[in-house]
Amino acid sequence: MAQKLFRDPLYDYILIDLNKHDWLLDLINCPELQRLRYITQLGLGQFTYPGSTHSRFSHSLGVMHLMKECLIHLRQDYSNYIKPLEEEALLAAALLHDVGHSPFSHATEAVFGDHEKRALQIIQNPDSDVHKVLQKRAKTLPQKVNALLAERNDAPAWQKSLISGQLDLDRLDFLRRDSLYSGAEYGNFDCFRIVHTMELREKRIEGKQKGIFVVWPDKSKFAIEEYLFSRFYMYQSVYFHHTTKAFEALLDRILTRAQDIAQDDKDFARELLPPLKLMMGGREAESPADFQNLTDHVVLAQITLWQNSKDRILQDLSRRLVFRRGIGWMEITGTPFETTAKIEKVRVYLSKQGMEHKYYFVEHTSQAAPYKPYSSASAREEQTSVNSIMLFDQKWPDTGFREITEVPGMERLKAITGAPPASLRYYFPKEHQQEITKLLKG
Amino acid sequence: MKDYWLAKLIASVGEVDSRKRLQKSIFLLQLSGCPLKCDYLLHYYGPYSFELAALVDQLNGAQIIEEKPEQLGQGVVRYRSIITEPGKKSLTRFENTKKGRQLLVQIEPFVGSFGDLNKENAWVLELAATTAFYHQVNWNEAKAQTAHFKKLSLGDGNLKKAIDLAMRFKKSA
Repeated sequence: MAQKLFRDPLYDYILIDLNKHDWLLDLINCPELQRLRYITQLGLGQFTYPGSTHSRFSHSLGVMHLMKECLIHLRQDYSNYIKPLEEEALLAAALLHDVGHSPFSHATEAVFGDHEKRALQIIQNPDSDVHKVLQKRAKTLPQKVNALLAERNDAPAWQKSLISGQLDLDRLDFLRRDSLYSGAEYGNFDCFRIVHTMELREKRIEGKQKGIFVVWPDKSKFAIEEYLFSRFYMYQSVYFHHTTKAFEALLDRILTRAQDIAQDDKDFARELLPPLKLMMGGREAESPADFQNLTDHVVLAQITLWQNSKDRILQDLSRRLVFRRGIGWMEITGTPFETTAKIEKVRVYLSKQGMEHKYYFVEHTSQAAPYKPYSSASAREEQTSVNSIMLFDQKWPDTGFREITEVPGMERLKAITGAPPASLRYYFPKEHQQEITKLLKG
Repeated sequence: MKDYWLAKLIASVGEVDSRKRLQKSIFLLQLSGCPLKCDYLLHYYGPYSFELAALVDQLNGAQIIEEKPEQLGQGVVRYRSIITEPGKKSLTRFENTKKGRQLLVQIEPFVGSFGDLNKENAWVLELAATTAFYHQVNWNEAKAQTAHFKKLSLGDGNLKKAIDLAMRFKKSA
């Protein structure tokens, strides 16, 4: 059998059967996917966990590997639900779901745009290598892949939930991979069992309407419980770590400051490294070639140069990032509108210190974070396999479907899956920690 | 300041009888220009926003609103979102600030419509939101897509009411 093997620390080997899926290797070799080697999976996570320097590329390979395993499993009992071209679309979508990520993953999304939208643009673009490979395989494959990744489409919801759901293959890979590389070991769980016990069940919704749900049997509940605890711990300790989030907020402010300067100062705009012109917006800046070169290294190179910028603010912010120093933080409970008066006082204080609050004071709500712990409360009466984790057992009364926290023996999960207390984080120059803490405590 | 706008809308009616109603009402309200601007995707039950669900969690976590479960039988639970007394006080305090007054002006035009949607039949509301989600150019196409999605006949009375409701909100933008 002709095959391509990738060594991988999570799965030992990721295998591609070239007799069957040679096109997948072509896809992997596309420049758009190779670019992900230069995008760190955890943004500035290495500022907290020095080992977490792994890339979106290895994660993408991992999700594709899990999709392959999952399809092999589902084909045994549910082959009538999956057409051959849909299988290929699922494999490609698994591989391409992160192809639109900006440098440092989510950390620069506010400046360079939403990664999901950009992934759709890349796949749709007839000039992209990714599009050409997909189209060569099957004319409709680019549209089918996009339908799986887009929010507004007709792709089967259960198929979408394999890529983007509460217990999807994306999370199954990144939780364990991020755990492994960061060294935060509590991110591990029985992934094999979750993938290999997955079922597809038809559920009646609102009387007539039927939907196919991805569900798990009762015997998988402990593996899922373990997954939910892992997700909770990883969220608390890695994804929402105050140091990582503080420096990611700083990175965002640096780029925002540069955007603001470039609006008025043509010389500054001209001197930007070409891929960074994307942050200026406009049609010209939407060049696919510039996005192709927009990687972590380019952003870091530019920030290294800005350490000597004539602009005092840009210089100061850049130095704080490069030397990883000078950011204070504080957390308070509440929701943003309740803290307005206190925030106003902090802004006035910073202004008296000669610091513009736009660049030196950042608010961060836990709900706005890209990664969140599972909340059984969020879906409430609209629970499906897209927004919640469902189990099925014919013995259970009514429909036989139950959301994981409602399954007998899963009471422990209530402690980590309810609506979390609302918390707000603030990041600011560390030298003003004492005064700002006082003002925020009110 | 989406948290404020959402809390204000809930406070304006006192309580919303289900999360589903809240999801669909906000979707229609956004079509008519309401500044909340949450991202929606198409769900089995019509348009659904993870962002809005997180905002409700946030208000719940901050005890601005309280959610009360109501067992409807057959394993179905409905969650009523009720504004709390501390929540009302927080809103009043905020509306006495300069920023609060600015944001109040932006949400006030939508308070009346939200009240109307809060009294609307829940099934019609769900169909209206679904049709409005499907609508690109042609209402008949959107109607046919909704009928197919929800397994309804094109002559269904509720579907007709839903189209009228959806058109009203999309046209008022």
